[in-house]
Amino acid sequence: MKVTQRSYGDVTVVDLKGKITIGRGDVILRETVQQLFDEGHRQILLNLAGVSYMDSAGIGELVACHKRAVEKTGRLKLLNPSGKVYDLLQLTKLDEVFETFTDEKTALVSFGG
Amino acid sequence: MSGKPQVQVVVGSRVEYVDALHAVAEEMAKLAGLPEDEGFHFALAIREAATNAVTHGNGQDPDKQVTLSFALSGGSLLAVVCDQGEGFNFKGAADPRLPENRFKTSGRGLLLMRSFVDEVTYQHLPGQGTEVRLVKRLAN
Repeated sequence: MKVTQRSYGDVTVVDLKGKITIGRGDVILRETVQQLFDEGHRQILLNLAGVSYMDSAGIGELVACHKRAVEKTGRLKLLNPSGKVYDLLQLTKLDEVFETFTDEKTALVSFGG
Repeated sequence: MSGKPQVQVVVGSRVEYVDALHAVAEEMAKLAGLPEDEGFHFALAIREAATNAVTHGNGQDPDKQVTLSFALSGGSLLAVVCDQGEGFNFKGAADPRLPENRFKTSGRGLLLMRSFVDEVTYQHLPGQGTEVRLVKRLAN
């Protein structure tokens, strides 16, 4: 999985490309988000537009990132999950846990000033 | 597996090999003529069973093997995943969709398996390991 980052004010947008699966993608996601928190970032928008699919390990890592954000009194939201990824979020009822957006501007505004 | 498997792959218990098993499952779905969406889901179910076998079943012990077999017969695509571990309590697995379990970071593999194929059955054979059978019925 490939990761790039962009910043808009206090919000860091993390563009993910590839698959979030056991052994590689989940580890990259964990390390990326952990590093952002270690650097003091607290508002994270994970752009899933380029994520083709996840397995249960990848889904579990998303939940772990969410929990870490809450522990750090930060926020982690999702942007543009593909149909396959969103189906998995719905199946696991995590669509009720994650704030998810289809428009980046709307997502950025939702973090507030 | 009743009768001879038509395809069989044996790997050591390393997480890195799960991708290879997933790729074989995708090819079997194509050979069986499954539509793209159903093939994607079938392969993901096999991936979850293989991950369970490598991690929970065999505990990533490199000396233990995971065997994945496929057979096409009677209008169904059958996959069997065998490990050489001490067993996994499938019946005791909690429903990850319940509010009290939604923040758990594991425990969703079985849900994905059950959601994406028509039948999932499992059997632990003492001294041999666990066998998980996944059946996808094919449209006529």
